[in-house]
Amino acid sequence: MNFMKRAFLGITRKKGKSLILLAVIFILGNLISGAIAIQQATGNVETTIKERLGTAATVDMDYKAWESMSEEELETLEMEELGVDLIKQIGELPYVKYYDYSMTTWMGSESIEPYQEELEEDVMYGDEDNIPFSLKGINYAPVIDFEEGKGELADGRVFTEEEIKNGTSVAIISQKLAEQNNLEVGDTFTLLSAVYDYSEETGEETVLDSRDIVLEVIGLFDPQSGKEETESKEEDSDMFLMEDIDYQNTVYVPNAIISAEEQYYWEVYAEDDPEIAEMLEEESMEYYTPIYYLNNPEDIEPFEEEVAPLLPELYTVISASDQYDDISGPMESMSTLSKYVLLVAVIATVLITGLVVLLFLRDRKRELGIYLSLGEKRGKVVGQILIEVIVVAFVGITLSLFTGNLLAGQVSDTMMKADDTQEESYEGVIYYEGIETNLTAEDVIDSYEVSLNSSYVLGFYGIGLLTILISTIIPLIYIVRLNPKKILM
Amino acid sequence: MILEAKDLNYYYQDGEQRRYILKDTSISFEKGKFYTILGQSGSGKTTLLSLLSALDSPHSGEVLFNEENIKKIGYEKYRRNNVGIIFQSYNLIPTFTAIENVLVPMSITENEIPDDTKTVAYNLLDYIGIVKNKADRLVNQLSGGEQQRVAIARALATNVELILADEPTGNLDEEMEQEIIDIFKKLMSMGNVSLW
Ligand SMILES: Nc1ncnc2c1ncn2[C@@H]1O[C@H](COP(=O)(O)OP(=O)(O)OP(=O)(O)O)[C@@H](O)[C@H]1O
Ligand SMILES: [Mg+2]
Repeated sequence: MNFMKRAFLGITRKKGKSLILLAVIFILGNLISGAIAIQQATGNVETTIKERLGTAATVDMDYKAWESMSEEELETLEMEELGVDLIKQIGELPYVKYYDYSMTTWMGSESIEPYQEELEEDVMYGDEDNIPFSLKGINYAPVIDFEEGKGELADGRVFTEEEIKNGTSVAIISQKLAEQNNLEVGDTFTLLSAVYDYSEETGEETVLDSRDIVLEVIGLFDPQSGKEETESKEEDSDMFLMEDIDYQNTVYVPNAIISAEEQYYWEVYAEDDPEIAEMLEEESMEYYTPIYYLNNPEDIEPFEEEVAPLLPELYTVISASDQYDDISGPMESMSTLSKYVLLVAVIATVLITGLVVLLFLRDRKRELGIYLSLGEKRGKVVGQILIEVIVVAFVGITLSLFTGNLLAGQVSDTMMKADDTQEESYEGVIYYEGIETNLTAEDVIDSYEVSLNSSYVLGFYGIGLLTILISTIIPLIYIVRLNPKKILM
Repeated sequence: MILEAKDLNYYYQDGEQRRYILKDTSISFEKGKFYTILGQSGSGKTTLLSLLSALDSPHSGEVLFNEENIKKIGYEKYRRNNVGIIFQSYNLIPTFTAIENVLVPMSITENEIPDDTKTVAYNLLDYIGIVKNKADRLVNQLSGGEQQRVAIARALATNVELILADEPTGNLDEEMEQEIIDIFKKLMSMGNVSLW
């Protein structure tokens, strides 16, 4: 009849009491279990989505703030440009893995043909486009697009620091474009840099001036992103194809090449227009869009905080996680709700189990006194009751683990659906290179999954058993510290 | 001397005042004898017994068991190995059967007792008049006299030299009282000392 056997008898001989305790723990356990499940799931969503969104960030005008400005405010506003120095300064922050800033322009050519592909319904994309080649200026020699897997270098090499610095006339083009024009690494090709004048009356463009630029092919790339998706997403395939053709016709060159061409355009314009000439005297006409890749998704927030004060007025950091914040509404409300439920459930559990155990113990007080009067060690008396309570609690917790999980799944399903209808519209969303924007609230909800993982299970048992342990031990210690006479006589 | 009390003081605090129940009380008991303490209700019999059985501690003075201070032995250990206590109100565990109640102290004591505790417990109960089928009943399904016998059996089960009983017949009718007294007399011949 040792204390373990007594504990066993304590449970089985007082079935009613054990069942009441079980029921209380089970009900409260469902609350805690459900709340933890939702918490965990929302936490997981945030990390997986942010992981998927990547670590890209850029700095640009805050168009939302701009739009909300009044006429007067706009008149007095003096927009500052984002200088290369500032771009570099931000790039030196410890959160940044690598960064680049580039200029982009479009050019035509008389000597090479753009890569084309027939679309369904016999629509030819790129047809009659006289500037089909998109030139992308590079400052980061290894080319971020290749590092991030948008493209892959198939032949040749990337830029050298020297070439970037000096603006050497070298280019990396797509393999398909090269094949189309029988170009190989080491060959040169010519693009036509033309200055257009757009007449508002006729809507016609006339070429004011043009010049050739000759580039040497140093490397060939192969587009990578979205390759696998083409087949599965039928409806998007046209869209994808267009993007693909755009990318196939992209020519990577050092920034300085584009900068020189821009300069040339402005000079041509300035010949006709003294106002532009004046402007050219005063400021540089180089506009760069920086792109920063951070070390990991958690860095986005501190990065934004550190960058914000450095920026000129009306500029803001735009990152992938902004998007998450835009669409995570349903998730956030789930998360806060579950936080409160968890807090309330834990407090309620401590109080209610404390109370139930206290009643349970009041009933057992005399029995405990008897054990003490027979010389049983206090530790074993405490141990016996703890075993009884913990065994019952364990069963209750295990049951509620599963039902709470099911419940959490149900509750969050309905909540998400309810919230889903209030989804914001995405009109006016600006798309940035490297910052994926195809994420919808649907995706967020899809990646939300209430599941039993080990950390959740352990966490739940931990919280549950600890709560019950504490609410049992406190009154128990109070009882066994009394001398047996006080209890029995 | 198997048991000695020296200068025991025990009081209740009554406001500012101390109301002494025991004041400089000394008493000693020889081994193998049967003692009865008489006194009016409220005179402090239960109080003295609780001090002698280490269920409570005196404000001053000491209790010696075989010349050793029970405080030194350790109250818990003393209760576990040296004394069997019988209460006026039985104090059995109601959810256990008679035999289970007797087995409880047998699993707690460190005294030498036969390995086959169950048989010993049945024999013990049988000896004081609880037959096997009653021994397997929950104690709250037994009469007062039967419950008191179970309590006696429980006190005897650990093979102690000293039994302390607090009005063990107080709740019983005369006939039952006589039977219980007879049991104690019978036990006396086995060499235990009992205080009543
Ligand atoms: N908790 C208490 N607070 C104050 N006084 C108490 C308390 N418990 C007992 N007493 C008093 O202590 C005195 C001794 O009580 P005790 O139980 O030892 O008497 P007793 O001789 O066993 O009486 P009885 O024959 O009725 O059992 C009594 O006068 C009682 O009123
Ligand atoms: Mg009394």
